[in-house]
Amino acid sequence: MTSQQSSPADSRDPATTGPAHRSDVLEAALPPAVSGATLSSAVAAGGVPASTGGSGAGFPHGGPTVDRSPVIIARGLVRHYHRGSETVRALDGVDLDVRSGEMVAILGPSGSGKTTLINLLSCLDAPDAGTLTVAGRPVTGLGEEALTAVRRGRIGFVFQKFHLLPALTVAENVELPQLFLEQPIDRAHTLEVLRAVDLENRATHLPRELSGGQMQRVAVARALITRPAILIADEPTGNLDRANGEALFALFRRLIAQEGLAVVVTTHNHHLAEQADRIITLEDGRIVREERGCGVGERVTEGG
Amino acid sequence: MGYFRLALRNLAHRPLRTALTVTGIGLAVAVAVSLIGFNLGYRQSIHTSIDKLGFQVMLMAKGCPYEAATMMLKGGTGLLYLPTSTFDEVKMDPELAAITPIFVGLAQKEGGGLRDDEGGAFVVLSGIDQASFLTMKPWLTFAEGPGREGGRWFAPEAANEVVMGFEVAEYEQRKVGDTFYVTVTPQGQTEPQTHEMKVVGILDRTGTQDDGTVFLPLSTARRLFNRPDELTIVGVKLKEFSGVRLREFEKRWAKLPEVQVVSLQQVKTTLVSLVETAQTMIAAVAVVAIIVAVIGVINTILMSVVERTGEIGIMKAIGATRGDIFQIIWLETLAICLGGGLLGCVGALLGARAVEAALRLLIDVGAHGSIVAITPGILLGALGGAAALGVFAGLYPAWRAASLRPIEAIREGE
Ligand SMILES: Nc1ncnc2c1ncn2[C@@H]1O[C@H](COP(=O)(O)OP(=O)(O)OP(=O)(O)O)[C@@H](O)[C@H]1O
Ligand SMILES: [Mg+2]
Repeated sequence: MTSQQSSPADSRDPATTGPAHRSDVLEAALPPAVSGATLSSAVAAGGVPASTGGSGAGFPHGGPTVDRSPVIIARGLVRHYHRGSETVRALDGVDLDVRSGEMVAILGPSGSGKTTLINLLSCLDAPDAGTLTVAGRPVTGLGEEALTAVRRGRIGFVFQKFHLLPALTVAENVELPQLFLEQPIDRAHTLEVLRAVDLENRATHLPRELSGGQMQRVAVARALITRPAILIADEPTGNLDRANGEALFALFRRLIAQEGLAVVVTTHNHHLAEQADRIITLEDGRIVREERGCGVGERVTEGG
Repeated sequence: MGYFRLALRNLAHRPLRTALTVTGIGLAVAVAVSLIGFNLGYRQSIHTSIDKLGFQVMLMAKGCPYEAATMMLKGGTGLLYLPTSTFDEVKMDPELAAITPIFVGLAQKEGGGLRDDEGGAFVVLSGIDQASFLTMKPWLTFAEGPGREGGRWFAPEAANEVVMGFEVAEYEQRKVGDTFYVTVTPQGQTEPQTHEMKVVGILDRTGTQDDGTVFLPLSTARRLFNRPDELTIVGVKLKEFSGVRLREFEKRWAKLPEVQVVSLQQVKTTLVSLVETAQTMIAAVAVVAIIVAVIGVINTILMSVVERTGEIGIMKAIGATRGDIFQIIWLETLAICLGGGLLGCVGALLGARAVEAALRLLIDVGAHGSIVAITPGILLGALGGAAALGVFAGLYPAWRAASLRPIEAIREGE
């Protein structure tokens, strides 16, 4: 098992941080009402969900830097699509580790396999070859229902389209995963999570009454409500303007800092990708480059 | 918030479409409920009518006129008689609920023939076996009011007591206790004989031939006419009255050489079967309406599933299992069908009176009481049926939704 092998970018010096001024700009992009401590304390008060158990998947309370073991370990992931006689090698042998408290950005041209990779990492799809361990559970070869069981409560999703249920209020949308997980629904907790995305005062609104950026933040809140170990976002800024896109990434950074989340995000935007700890570039289903990001988060992590 | 509420919220989010679909189901259910109610009510009232006539079947001598009363009132003398042995034989029939022997004879009215133009110079005398006759016509009661007090049946073997029907009593202006002269010509004689009888009771109006009949004990009637071993009519009530049973009964007894089996209810039976034919057609229409409505529901739900592909995909991504999605979509269908069922029941109840009025206007239903009988049982059945339709109609769309693969659903939704 090679799961503990670090990919090159993993070995970066935690002390290397992005330019301070830059993170200041991002902090400024955050709404002032966001109180950094709220979600953390709410999570701490609620205890660690059992679902986050497993090797290195626990929430590192009181400081995200304690446990840096990988929550996603992928080796030689292959995913081929068959279209008639033609085979599309959407993913052609990808190794990747993602640790708690880090943000990995996936860059690459259209059709390079970003979505394919992210579908595998988030257990929405099963690889044709290779091994994958998510939150301590080997998921290779699992069927649809078994994959659902692994996903439930452990992985939060944000997509390009927000896919909020138009019939439900903001708060009800956020609580939806708890409905499926048969968790008790606690409106106070919902409001905490909404406060973390600065939408506390929109809890009873319907999605159609929100802007795109706000809807995407509702989607983020929905992804966070079950306190997942991993947040997966496929082009979350695709439908957002630049300012909202930056605010969303800043929100990710803050959640990583506060919750020790592992975030995997795809984007076409190099500028946004820079804010990740690691930037992976895919081309034709292979990783062609791994760079260290500006590591904006490290400044926060180090308590700066 | 449970899945049922979630389903309701989804439906409420598309109010027009939901309302139209619910209305479609509602109409179909209303038609079905009304038809079943009509069927039940009409049958009930037809059966009441049939029961009111006492016996459904008469056995008479071959050649004896069907509508005996009419023939007699016109002075017809074509009355033919059956031997008592026929009665004893038929009495053994296993399908019989009741049987009664009747001897019908004509008496000249007092002052014979002078009032011919006033509806005939004859009075119908019915010699009856009181006990079995009353079993068949338990509703026969005595009229009240001045001059009618103290009405009672004659003693079974009384030689000079009669009970008069309401109309004949009015016409002859008799009161209880009055004398009534019966003038008959006994068999084998040419000269009429007059007998003095006492009116011991006057019956209430029944709206049937009985109103114009003078009743006396069977034995007395036979003696007056000097036909000690003969009968005119054997009245029969079958355990179960239907066309099939009737034909079976006819077959059994038409083999007796002198007997013809006449159903008093031939007309009514024809009416019933006519109504049944119409009902079969209308029922077919109702079935088609329900099928159309169900297809409408399936289509609506399928459409909303397709529309919500992305939503369903994301629900699966964030933890909904196949079962969860199946339940939500299925409950939506069920809610639509139950809502339609409720609407249909209310509509049918409200519409029942209008339907009834229309039916009475359009066809002479020849029935008593309410024609459209919407019972709680029918309503419960309709709701149950609507729920069953919902269960059925929801299966495919729910299965389709549940089978959506999250990545493809999210892709398509984008
Ligand atoms: N369901 C599918 N069936 C067949 N081919 C597919 C399927 N999904 C993806 N592909 C193919 O696999 C390759 C990788 O697709 P993928 O969606 O992962 O690209 P991407 O990097 O996410 O692109 P984009 O930036 O446009 O979203 C593409 O060539 C695509 O056409
Ligand atoms: Mg993509």
